[in-house]
Amino acid sequence: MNSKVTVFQFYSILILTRLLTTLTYIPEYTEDITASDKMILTLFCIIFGTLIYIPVYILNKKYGGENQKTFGTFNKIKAVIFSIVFFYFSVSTVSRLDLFAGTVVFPETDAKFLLLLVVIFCCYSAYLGIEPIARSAVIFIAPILLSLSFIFFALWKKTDLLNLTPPFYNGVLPVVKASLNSTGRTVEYAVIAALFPFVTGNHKKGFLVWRISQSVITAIVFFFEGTILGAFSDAQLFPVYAIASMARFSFFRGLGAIITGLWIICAFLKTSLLIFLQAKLISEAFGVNKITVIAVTGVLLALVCMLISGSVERFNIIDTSSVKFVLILISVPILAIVELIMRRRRKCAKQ
Amino acid sequence: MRKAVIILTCIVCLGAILNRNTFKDDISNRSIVQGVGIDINDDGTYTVTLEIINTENYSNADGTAKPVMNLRTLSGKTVSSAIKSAYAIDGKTPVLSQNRVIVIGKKLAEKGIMPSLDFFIRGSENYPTVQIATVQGRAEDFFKDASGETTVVSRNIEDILMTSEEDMSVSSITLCDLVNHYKSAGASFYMPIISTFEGKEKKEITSKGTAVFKEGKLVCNLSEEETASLNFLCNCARRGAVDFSYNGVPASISVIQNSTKKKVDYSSENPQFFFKVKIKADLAEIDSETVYNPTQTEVDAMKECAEEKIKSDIEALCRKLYRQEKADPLGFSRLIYIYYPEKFRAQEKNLSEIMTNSQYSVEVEICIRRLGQDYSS
Repeated sequence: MNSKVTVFQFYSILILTRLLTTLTYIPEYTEDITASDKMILTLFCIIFGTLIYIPVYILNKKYGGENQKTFGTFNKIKAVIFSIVFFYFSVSTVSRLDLFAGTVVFPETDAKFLLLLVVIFCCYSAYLGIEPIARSAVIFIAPILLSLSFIFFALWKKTDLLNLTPPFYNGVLPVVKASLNSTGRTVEYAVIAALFPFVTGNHKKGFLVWRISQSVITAIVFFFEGTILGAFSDAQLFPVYAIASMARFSFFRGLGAIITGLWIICAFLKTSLLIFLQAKLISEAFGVNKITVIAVTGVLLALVCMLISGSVERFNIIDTSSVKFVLILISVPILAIVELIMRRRRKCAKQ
Repeated sequence: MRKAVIILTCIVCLGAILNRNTFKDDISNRSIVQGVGIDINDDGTYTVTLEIINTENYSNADGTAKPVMNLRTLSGKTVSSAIKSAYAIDGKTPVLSQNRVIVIGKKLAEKGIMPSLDFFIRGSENYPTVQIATVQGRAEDFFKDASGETTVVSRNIEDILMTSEEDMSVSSITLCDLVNHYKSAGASFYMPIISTFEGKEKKEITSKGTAVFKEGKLVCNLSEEETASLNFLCNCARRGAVDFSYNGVPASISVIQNSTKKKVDYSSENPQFFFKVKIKADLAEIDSETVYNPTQTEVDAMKECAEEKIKSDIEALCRKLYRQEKADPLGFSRLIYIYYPEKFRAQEKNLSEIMTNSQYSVEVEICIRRLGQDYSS
């Protein structure tokens, strides 16, 4: 359980898990902003992301070597809060995969079985630990980024710059709001906070490289979406899939299948990681058996996702931006700041 | 091992229970739709014509084969209910994921096509790249007229429309582009007109000009020559022939490459649009009495004639679309939106009038790449 991963492995996982959020984004969440503003918001995301990261970094840099179990009750509260965050995001990830499968891949078929399979395999993967997940991410990252590049290459001729929009056409505020929304959808900040002590290497550099590369990838995705689909993207539930299905290269027609493959791999890695983290935090804080926690999490996850699966209305209730905003933008930095204050006080009291 | 077998068996059983409806829908229970024709009736209902692959196409004992495609005409209050009603006729679920083309009847085009396209935009089965075209009569009649034993009408239409990059007299538009044009400030778009003509053995399909729509309704038709100018302006033409008159005789250049740059200047009261059309072409034909090798001066004069012809055609098209019909199917208002957002915001409601009063300046530059089997100049 206390096995460590390198910075490269860790941020490889985060690139793929965040990539899933980008590829499966639904335009409804960015409805107030125009095509060019979507690219600009990635810059704001770097700023907001860094603001969340700073207290986590300071806490771990100053007190990372100290015993994590010093504050018994606080650790339990922290474990519970983070477990809620991770459970919520794993529900969101699996439900979104289910929504995609039920809308685009098999519109006439119940995708519950796929959903159940994903949960079973993710639980097994979480049981194996962080190292196999990290190794899988390192193996998959190059093929996934190459596949994406291939899709974009095939789409290049279809781009039309006239589909772009003047920057900040509706003002700066909607862009800031959408950036906060996007940052709130980045569970990776909570993952960084939870796994920071178990990652070896230069954290600061790793974080900056991850955050910037993630923003660049997102900006590229939005560029192609904006220049190819234009206003049509508002009429699509999953615009990234729509542009991939328009790609043509030689005898390859409609590369939507590649995107589907990427989604499944990324969703699998993300859900496995989130289940693993829940098991790790709860078992360490409460001394419960890891396998029991994984099994309970898996059953709960499957039940909740099956309940959501039948209705897009239930999905909309669960997948709310405001909840994600509170979970990520408020809880992650506040927990780090509270712990920082507590540790500083204890240090002062000792002196 | 035993555990693994038990787990796998459980998974398979669970899959069978959860997906029990899936097994009903195998390929023999599906109608694979290749083309859709939509007409509106006097009572406001839709008539939808589906061109479906005949999955029972096999040779009989006497060697005759059944037609490769079936036509099915359905009616409903909405397009989707009409399409779904196919199930009640042959017990097969229509599948639209292989649909190549949507053909709109003239009456529907005049009344407004956007409501009838909602099903295709909303539905996840349809690709955004499906081609859209219109006909001069009913789409139902067009499909009936064009279909034959071995003809796949939709594939023929798609093949013709996909050549728009190679033939300037043919325009094309996909569902994605159509919605994109419609949702922009001008709310105008265009689509090719297709028709049939009597071939040697059977009816053939061809594209005859372009239909222009404003706010979803048909406002005018463009000839094949006007379509070529439209293709130049929207940067859709890559290749094709341009005919012009040189010293009273017909001549032609074969376009190899074309790119059009568009700019707008809105510093004065009315916007002024600048179009710079750059063409790389081969000299294809000079219909003079004597075959001769043109001198550089003659080549320059021919270039000038061709440039003047293209320029005057484009200017005439701009006059027709923007002054006469007050439509913006080429999306020029987007240039104002991008480069002068504040003026666009202020004038958004009067955009149609502003576009009418706009000035259009066209510059054509032809570079002759080859003179044919001749290098004497």
